[in-house]
Amino acid sequence: MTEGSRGRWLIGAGAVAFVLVLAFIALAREPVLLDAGSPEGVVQRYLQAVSDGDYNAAFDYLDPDFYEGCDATALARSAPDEPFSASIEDEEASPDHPLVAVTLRFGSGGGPFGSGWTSYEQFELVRVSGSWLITGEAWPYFSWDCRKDT
Amino acid sequence: MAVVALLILGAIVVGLVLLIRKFMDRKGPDTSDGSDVLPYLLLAVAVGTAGFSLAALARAAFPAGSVVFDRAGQVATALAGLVVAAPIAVYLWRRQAKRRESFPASGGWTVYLALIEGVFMTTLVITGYMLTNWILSDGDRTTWSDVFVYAAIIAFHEVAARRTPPHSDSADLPRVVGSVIGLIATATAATGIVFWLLDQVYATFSPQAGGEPLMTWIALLVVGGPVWFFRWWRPWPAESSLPRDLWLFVVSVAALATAIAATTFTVIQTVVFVLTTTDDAAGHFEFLPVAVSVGLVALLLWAHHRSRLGSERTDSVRAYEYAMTAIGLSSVVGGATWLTALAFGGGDLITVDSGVVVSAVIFVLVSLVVWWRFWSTAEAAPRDVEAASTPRRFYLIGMGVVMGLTSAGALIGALVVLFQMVLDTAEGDTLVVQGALFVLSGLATWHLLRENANDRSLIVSEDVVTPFDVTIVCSHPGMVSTLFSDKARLRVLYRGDDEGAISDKMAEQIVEEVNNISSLVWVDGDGFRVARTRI
Repeated sequence: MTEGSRGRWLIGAGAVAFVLVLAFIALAREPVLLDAGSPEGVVQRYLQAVSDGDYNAAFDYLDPDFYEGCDATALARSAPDEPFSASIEDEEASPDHPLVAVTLRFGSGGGPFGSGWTSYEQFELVRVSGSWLITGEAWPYFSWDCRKDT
Repeated sequence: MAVVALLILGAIVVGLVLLIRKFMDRKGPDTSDGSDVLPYLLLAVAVGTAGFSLAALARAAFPAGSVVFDRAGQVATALAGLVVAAPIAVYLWRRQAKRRESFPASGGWTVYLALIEGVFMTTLVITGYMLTNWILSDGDRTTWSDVFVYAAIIAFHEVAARRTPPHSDSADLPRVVGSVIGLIATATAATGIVFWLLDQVYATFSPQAGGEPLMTWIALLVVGGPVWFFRWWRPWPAESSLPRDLWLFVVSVAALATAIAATTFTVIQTVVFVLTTTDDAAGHFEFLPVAVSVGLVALLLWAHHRSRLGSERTDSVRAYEYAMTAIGLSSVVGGATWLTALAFGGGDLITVDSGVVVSAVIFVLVSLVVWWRFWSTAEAAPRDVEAASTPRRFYLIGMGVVMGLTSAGALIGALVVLFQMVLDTAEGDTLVVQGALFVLSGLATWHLLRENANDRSLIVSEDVVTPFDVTIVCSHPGMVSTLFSDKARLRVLYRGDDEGAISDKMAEQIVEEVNNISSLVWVDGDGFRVARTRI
């Protein structure tokens, strides 16, 4: 094997190794798990459950009074078909009536030519029996017809 | 399932490589001209797919503060793109690298580099700006990995381009594309910064102003400035090239038109304020920071790019000047039509705002100045050279057609209104706008076509001579053969006596009489006779 071809093989092997390392990091890396007792932690778990398609778990994070008459199937009908990621934005939160701001990124989002888009959403939370729950018209805005007081 | 998916992906890759080999390599490397546009386009698609897939994989590995994401889905999508595109990209890259050794002037290489520059430099500038904006201000959180991946792709191609530089006629195209991207980002940032500065000054006496973010513009300048510097300001390999001259022309025209528009708007608003307005000055001149910043940056851009076009009256300079002449003439026609409509149109129920009239008058005056300034420069140039130049012919004929069609359209509109009046179905329409547009654009058409006709009379045209046969029956041909054009196929038949010798004077008369047409020439003691031969 000549010096040049050995160099090319090394570059190729290095590139493949680099891709595998990136894939490994991506798969092994867990998102930072926020405190389950905080409003941000509740929103994170709600969004993760929607992302995973576990709508029963997601529905448990919604305020039962506000969503009375609805169930997880209504949520499932409105959930996005494509994968998304979410990051919590810095917002000033009132201790009594916290609002959690989130940027949702849909699709591939590969630069200016990617098919992705972002959406800025706010989640309103209310304390029920010592736990924070999501209330108000929360993303993904599923059919409000199911609610009793509509 | 995974094994099946991998087999399918592998089959796609192998199939594509085999197709490329079958249809692109069948002639052998030395039988085509080596432009290789199609393989380079395929390479660009493969590199683009692989590059964006790699960036997506890096985003999945370093997700920039995301608290929720679909890791498996992102990784699977990115890996699928890489598995299909990367082997094809590697195969085509190596194939084309070998081909460039045989065909260094490959046009496909230039096209490929320009495409990669356009796609990945744009992406780099946008992601770099987002990252810098996030660092410097409170912009949206973004990932740093995109910047590294796209910068690495740009750097890789920069090294390859320096190792085997493009040598085709448009070899500067990739650098010009980079210059376009850098200039747009830098000019936007510079305009934003100047606007911010002026806005701060304006905010001291106007409560409406202020509050625009400076850091956003600085972030854009930090990213766009180096790109523009690196691509535009480095020495160019040649004094002049088509892509660069074209870009200089576009920026010179666009920047000057923008600067004139910003200045005209400012003058109009100032005159309107002095003559008519009852607003407070601060509120009326709220536009000033925007107009001044846009005008100032446009002026600087024009000064720089116009100077690079050079002072000699080349076709690039002519194209720039005739484009400005065209803008001036169109504006004169449009503005004068507007003014006529203000003067004679409308009903008696409302009075025309004097501010609008002032605007129209200043617009027409500025347009006239622009048109006259550039048209008189063209008129001052040596007419015979100017008349034959492509930009002038393009201007006269192109604008003549546009103005002629405008005039025809206006005439149709006028006739429609006229018939409506006759049939009593007109709904308040008047003939003023259509009539004015018909007359003004008609006058412009007449001026342009008349100039074009004058130019044509100045252009020296050579008669096209097709090959012709001449048979001369004489005693001695003299010098006649040297007087015919090189298209003549001459045959001389000797009479065998001394009665038909051709003198020099007779030779000239014979050539004139034949007039480049196939003929039979009889020479005897009485002179010569010419008969046309059958074709």
